[in-house]
Amino acid sequence: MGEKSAAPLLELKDLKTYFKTDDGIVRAVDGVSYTVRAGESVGVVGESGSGKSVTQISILGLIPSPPGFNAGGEILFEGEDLLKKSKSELRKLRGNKISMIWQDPMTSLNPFLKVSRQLIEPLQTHQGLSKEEARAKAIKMLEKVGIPAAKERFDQYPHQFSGGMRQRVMIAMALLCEPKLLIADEPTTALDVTIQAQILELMKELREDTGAGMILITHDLGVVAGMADRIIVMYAGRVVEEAASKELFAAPSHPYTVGLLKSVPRLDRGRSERLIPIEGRPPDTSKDIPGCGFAPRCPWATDECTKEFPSRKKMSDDHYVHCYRAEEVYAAKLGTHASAKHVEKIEQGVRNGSTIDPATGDLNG
Amino acid sequence: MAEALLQIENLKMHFPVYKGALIRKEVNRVRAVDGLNFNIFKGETLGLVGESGCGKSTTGRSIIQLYRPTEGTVKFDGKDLTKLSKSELHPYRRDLQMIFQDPYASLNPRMTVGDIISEPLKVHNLATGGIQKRVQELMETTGLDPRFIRRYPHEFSGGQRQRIGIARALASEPKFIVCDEPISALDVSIQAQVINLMEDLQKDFGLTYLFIAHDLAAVRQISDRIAVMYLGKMVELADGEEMYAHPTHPYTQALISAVPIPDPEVEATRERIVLAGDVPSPLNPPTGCVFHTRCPFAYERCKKEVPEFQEAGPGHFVACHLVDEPERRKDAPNAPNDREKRAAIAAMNNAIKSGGLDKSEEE
Ligand SMILES: Nc1ncnc2c1ncn2[C@@H]1O[C@H](COP(=O)(O)OP(=O)(O)OP(=O)(O)O)[C@@H](O)[C@H]1O
Ligand SMILES: Nc1ncnc2c1ncn2[C@@H]1O[C@H](COP(=O)(O)OP(=O)(O)O)[C@@H](O)[C@H]1O
Ligand code: SF4
Ligand code: SF4
Ligand SMILES: [Mg+2]
Ligand SMILES: [Mg+2]
Repeated sequence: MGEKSAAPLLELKDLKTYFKTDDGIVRAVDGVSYTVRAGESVGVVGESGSGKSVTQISILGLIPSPPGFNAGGEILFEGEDLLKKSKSELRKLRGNKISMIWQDPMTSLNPFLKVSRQLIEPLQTHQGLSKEEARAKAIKMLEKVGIPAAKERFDQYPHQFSGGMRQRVMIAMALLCEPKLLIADEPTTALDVTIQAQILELMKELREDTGAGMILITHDLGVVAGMADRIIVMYAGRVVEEAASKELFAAPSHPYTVGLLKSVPRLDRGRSERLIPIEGRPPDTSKDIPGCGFAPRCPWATDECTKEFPSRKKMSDDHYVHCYRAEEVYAAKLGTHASAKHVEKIEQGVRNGSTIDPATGDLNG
Repeated sequence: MAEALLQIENLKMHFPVYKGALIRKEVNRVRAVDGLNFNIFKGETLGLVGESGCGKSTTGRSIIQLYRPTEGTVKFDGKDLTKLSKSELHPYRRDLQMIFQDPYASLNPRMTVGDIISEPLKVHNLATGGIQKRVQELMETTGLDPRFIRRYPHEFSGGQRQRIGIARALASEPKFIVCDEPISALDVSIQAQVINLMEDLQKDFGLTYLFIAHDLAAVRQISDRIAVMYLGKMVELADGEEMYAHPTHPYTQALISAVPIPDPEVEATRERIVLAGDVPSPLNPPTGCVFHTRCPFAYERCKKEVPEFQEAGPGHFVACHLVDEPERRKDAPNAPNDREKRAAIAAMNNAIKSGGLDKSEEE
């Protein structure tokens, strides 16, 4: 991992991004705070619609407006608030100090332009390289990301590359300007698993080389387990838990995080372990959500939960949770190592009104 | 278990590629499925995995005769379905159903849920008189609120739409269902709901499934046996536990090593077999073993000779020359260092054992 300095590279403070729609105001991102340190890899997980992408698009200043608008908060990048920057200042940052990798490479690549031109131009404008210098640097980067016969393929169009190779070209493009922050939104979701393994390996290597900080959005807990130093869990437009990767998997303290962990099939488990689904579905953020948005689906919910959104609790260094019963969830040891049986027993118990002894982690009474 | 519901022999499905607008001329063929031999046992779930385009959906569709195979036989209850005419096939359609990947595209947006689910009942003259009651029963069974019988698909969530598709497939009381990526389009938290529902239905109605997915972890979760496909061929078939413990085909080994596991400690000690390159085009598959362009162990014979799909252990089928010539695995110049790999696998297994299952809770 690259060196980590104390001052954060990126700091989101109570960020709110809303959309005006016919059904009312969608609070897509509703008070999100987290930091990314230099050289650090932060994973963001949560189900579809939880606001993972809108947060990133807000950082990039690319929220379509209308219908989208900023409803408060700050986005501090190297100490400066990006929300206060002009369009042209933001354009300069994008693809330079901040770059992105999307799920669909064609959102970054222009189908009508040769790959060579798309790689060379930003180097000329952002770094002031001559055409020859830019060309040499770009070809070297294509070789580095594993494009076979890079020199010969340099002047081809994107559609002449396979899906996995296009993803590589996009990664090359994102890294060419040596960004400080790399934002990757589901970079491997559209790829087959053996190609995903190639791309993840590559991203890991290149990040270690360049020391870039990274935000990695994915719905695949396995991918963050292998790639992220720290993990942010989002639910209904809010951060509900954040912790170092090991800690989050070993001692999840929000019932939703436990739910995510226990509802995904695992290759190392197989049939004997039944999945525990999260019942119901996420709330509509255009409606008023009283208190904790997870309450209607949460086995741990009590009357208190629907009154006010739970404040941020510190569980240990670098581990924060928004849940009234976080201490109990933590104590019950419901992490990646827990068996489905154990989790079912605990969830059944608390559903029936029992509490957890924070010292032993057992059900009371 | 061992009684076969379906016997598939030398199944081939080739799609012609035409050129020319006026005079259409066949210039090539996509060998989507190219000679499969396997059985599907009564009451089992057979998982079918492989990368996109390897022929999984085509296999499923040609088994239930949604596609009429180019070659080969599909015996169902002893009868070869490929030889039957459309009208002779009609009664069998009742027994052979399908659930589709995309719950958005596979439901007619202009039909109500009631119409969608009752369609197979009408086609096969079932539940005469009590259609509405039967539909409500099916909705109940699949976890849908029967009061929504007059609603349209767009009024439901992805998970609910998949339940509608399942209810429709169940309506004719089939014996066999091809489930083509039924959870791929669903959100993580909803996938488990659908997997559990499908497992319950199988138990309750004695169903046999061919469960198609590209997600190996999901396949392992639901399947008794697992088949792995690559470029139109079946390369390995074994019991789920056996496949995971002793993957034998080099492609299966790479596939298993590539699936991320949601445990940072396990991930940190895992050795990935990263395959070079992409899957070749099925228009022009490699000679000999179709995997030889990416296989770390490939040798001369692999380029010339198609490996036979043979039994390497009891019920464990593999199509690879290494089964006859195991010593080649060590000699291969590009092979990952075997000692290192074994050490990494041992470390992974230990990590899984020590932390994987909370033993104290099992008692
Ligand atoms: N342009 C828009 N207009 C209105 N609502 C929007 C718009 N873009 C996003 N939203 C809403 O904002 C919420 C958060 O969306 P976002 O794309 O961030 O989700 P996500 O967590 O990235 O989900 P996924 O996993 O599906 O990518 C959703 O409710 C979405 O419908
Ligand atoms: N109706 C069709 N006409 C022509 N080619 C097809 C057709 N259906 C599938 N194919 C081709 O056959 C191959 C296998 O496809 P498919 O069975 O859908 O793969 P999978 O389900 O494993 O992703 C692919 O190359 C695909 O493009
Ligand atoms: S605050 Fe209450 S409802 Fe929300 S997750 Fe915690 S226990 Fe569940
Ligand atoms: S037959 Fe040869 S190329 Fe094919 S999988 Fe076996 S070793 Fe590899
Ligand atoms: Mg998104
Ligand atoms: Mg398919």
